[in-house]
Amino acid sequence: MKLIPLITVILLIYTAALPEDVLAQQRFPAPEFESGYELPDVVTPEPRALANEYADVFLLASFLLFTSWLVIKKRSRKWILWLSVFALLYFGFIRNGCICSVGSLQNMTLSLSDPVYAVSYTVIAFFMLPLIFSLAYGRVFCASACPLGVIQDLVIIRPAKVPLWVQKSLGMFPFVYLALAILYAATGTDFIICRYDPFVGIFRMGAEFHLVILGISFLLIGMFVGRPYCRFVCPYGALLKVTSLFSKRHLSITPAQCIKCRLCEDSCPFGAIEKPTPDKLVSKIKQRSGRFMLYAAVIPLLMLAFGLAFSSSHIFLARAHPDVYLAHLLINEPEVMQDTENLDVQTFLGSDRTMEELVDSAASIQATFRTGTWLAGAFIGLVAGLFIISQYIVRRRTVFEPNRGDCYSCGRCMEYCPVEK
Amino acid sequence: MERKKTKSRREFLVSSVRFGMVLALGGVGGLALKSATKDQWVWQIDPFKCSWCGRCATHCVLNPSAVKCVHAYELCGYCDLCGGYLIPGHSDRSTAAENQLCPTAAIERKFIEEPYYEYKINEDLCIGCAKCAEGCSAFGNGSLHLQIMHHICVNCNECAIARVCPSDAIIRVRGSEPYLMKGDFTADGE
Amino acid sequence: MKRKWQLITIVLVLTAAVVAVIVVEFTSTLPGRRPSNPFAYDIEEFRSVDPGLIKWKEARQVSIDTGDPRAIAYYNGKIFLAAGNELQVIGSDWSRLQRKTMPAEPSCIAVADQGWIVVAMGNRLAVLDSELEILAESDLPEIEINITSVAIHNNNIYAADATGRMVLVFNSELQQVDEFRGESGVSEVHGFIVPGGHFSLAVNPENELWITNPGIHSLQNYTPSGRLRRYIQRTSFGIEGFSGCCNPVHFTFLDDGRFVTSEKGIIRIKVMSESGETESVIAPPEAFAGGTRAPAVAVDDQGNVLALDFDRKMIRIFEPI
Repeated sequence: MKLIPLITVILLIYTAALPEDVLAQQRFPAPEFESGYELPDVVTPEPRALANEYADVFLLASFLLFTSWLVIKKRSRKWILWLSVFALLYFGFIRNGCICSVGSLQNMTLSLSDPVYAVSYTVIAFFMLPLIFSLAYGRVFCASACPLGVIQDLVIIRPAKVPLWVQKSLGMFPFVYLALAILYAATGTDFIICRYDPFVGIFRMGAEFHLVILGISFLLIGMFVGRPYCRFVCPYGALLKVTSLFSKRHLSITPAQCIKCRLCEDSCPFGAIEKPTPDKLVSKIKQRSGRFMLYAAVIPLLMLAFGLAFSSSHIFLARAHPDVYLAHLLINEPEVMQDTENLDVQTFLGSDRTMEELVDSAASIQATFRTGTWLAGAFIGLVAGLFIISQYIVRRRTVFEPNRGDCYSCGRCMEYCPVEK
Repeated sequence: MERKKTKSRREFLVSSVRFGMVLALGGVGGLALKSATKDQWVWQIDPFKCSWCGRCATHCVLNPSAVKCVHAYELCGYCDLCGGYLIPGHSDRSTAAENQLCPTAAIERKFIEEPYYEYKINEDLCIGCAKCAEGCSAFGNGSLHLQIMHHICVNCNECAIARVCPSDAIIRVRGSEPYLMKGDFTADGE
Repeated sequence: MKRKWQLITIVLVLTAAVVAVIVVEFTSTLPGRRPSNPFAYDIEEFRSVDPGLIKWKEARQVSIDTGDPRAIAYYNGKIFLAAGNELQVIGSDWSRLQRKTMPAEPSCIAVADQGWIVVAMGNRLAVLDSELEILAESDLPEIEINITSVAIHNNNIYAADATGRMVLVFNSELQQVDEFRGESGVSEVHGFIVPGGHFSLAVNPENELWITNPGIHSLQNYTPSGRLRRYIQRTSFGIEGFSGCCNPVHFTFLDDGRFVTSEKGIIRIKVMSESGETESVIAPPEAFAGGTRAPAVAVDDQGNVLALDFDRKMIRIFEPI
């Protein structure tokens, strides 16, 4: 009983905080009906049950665990394939692609940059699990748990060999994309990974026309160039690549000793198989190793250069933020204020926000972008530097083995190996 | 002997980097856990911010949109001359199609008693265009308003409507309280 | 070799398509380039008013900077304004003569011929003397009431309760003496139908009590004891009548007994004859562009109309041309 005054106080505080207009509108009661009419209930269906979300996490973990076992122990391409089809059906077509590990990257970023933004445990699990597994067993997530990867894997018909230099240099783009995605997510501007996700429209069996074209183009390219999105775009793949490079265990082409039969040489549609180092190169490596320190010294310069280059475009990049865009629009083209068809401008003019508030907000977002672009540029510079260095620390290789960073653990190469356990 | 040494040095390096990555990953996860919630988060429209721009109908990734009009009956005036049902300047107050404001005729009008009429949304027909909500807010009590229906919404990581909403009316709410129905707190407060 | 080039061309074309789509997607949703509303609620044709009907011009605007405006009344050269928690008395030279903080936010004001003032604050009433001292205050009622309009008639206070859909009658000591729901016994005229929180009453120069019946777009004349005497009823989106659920929201009288009515939805203020004909328009909808609430109205000694614009937070004075 003692609770009632407390509740009343809470209610009073609650109602006092509401604008008067709202209150007047909200408080008004329905008519008293003489015919015994009762107000119908408003049906408000619940969202997906929390238990289902946790089931998704469990399913993802099981997929990763099962794939790891298939890749490391069972060594069965067939099983991996079937598992991946199932993942495509469930995470892709049934769950409609949200939330996925790739996109969760942005939620994580925003939750770290914006203290108000909360993530659910599900999102954290979706972000962490594939990376943890990648550190342990390589990119098993790409093999058979990522619907985006699997749909591309299934359309490979005639994979062409991409020249090594093209593959290596385009392989830098995911890091640029990663930097941009983090920049945009951290500033609360946009979730670009989700927005330009080419396959989500296919999973949902419907999207705007131009986004359908995007998906179909990627799939058509994917018929000739294996997994183009994974290799040259996917920002989460960039993280997986780095973690996988240092994985505890990894898929091996041969179950025992490699006999260098070269049967597997062309089996990888992604150009991820490293050949034994030719003798000629071995002596070359020795010559080059002296330059290693020189290139290491170049990294800070590269970081500075990229940081400078990137930050010079911070205003352009910041214009993706609606506040910044609107502020620029209103300042540079004040005549849009008369345009009654422009809903965004009219809504802003009709709102409580003043022009000063908008300009302040835009200025502070631009300032964040200036810092952010410096950091993003430096990051890209670092990656570029490390990439250059990595060209000079070629390890002497005596067997055929997968490149741990680029290998998706799809298991195709294992089928080609004639060696038995 | 020489080979073995390089190899073990290499392995040591790799496992230290791996250990570092585990730590970094744990750090990121731990920081995120600080602001994490048990609840999932879903999208919802704040009906008091909504400016009835019509983009809920055109910008949802689903077609028809997951945004529907809902009716907060306890706020409705049960008017005969309903600003949300009849087109402005209608010729008479009948249910004839040419008098209806709704582009898909999703509002069903039913006589209750003199002079009250009930207006009910047929969710299957509603496209979430907010035309009725605007009319109801202008002339009536604003009992017709938009909400994201969660049995339809696929809960995109970033709501495509939220991105284009001119009044920032689409916000994230906890999955345990997924609706922002007008009049809800009146019902509780009494 | 030829095949190889074919392949490269195909891949390059598709890549170009990908880039093009991304550029299109990015630029098409920038705030300046989004489409207008295909489902716009169009009441433009009713917003325009025949200029010949506008026989009033706006003479002055006075901003209110002491809190959200809530109610306005005029008596004997003074403007009584409720803003925020305050009751203010403003002189003819726009100087603030008196101000008083009320126990709750005022919702409406009426001034008696003897100079005493009635202020309603949602669910309660207060009577003040001309020095703004509170003479009487009503108890908080047990049932929920929401007084949206007060008037003084034969020394009794008539309060329109929008929640209970009835008129409460109090004596000057604020003891309730009567209440009525406007039921006339005549089948075609229903009692008060108040679909929204808008319910208004006023006394005309001939000392007749008029009350709105917004659900049927009617202005009704009642005897002091609550018997319907006569009414006018005009339903129309056009200038000749009232539209929506709650109109007219506010009304008052000119010296000659004609109505000054204020509407929401299509916000407009107009003059109506006693027989319900629209005679002229004081303020067309353009004067309130972007607004959402019907202005409260009062008439001063010179016959000018004072409109309290809640959205712009100002008093706007309209003079006959």
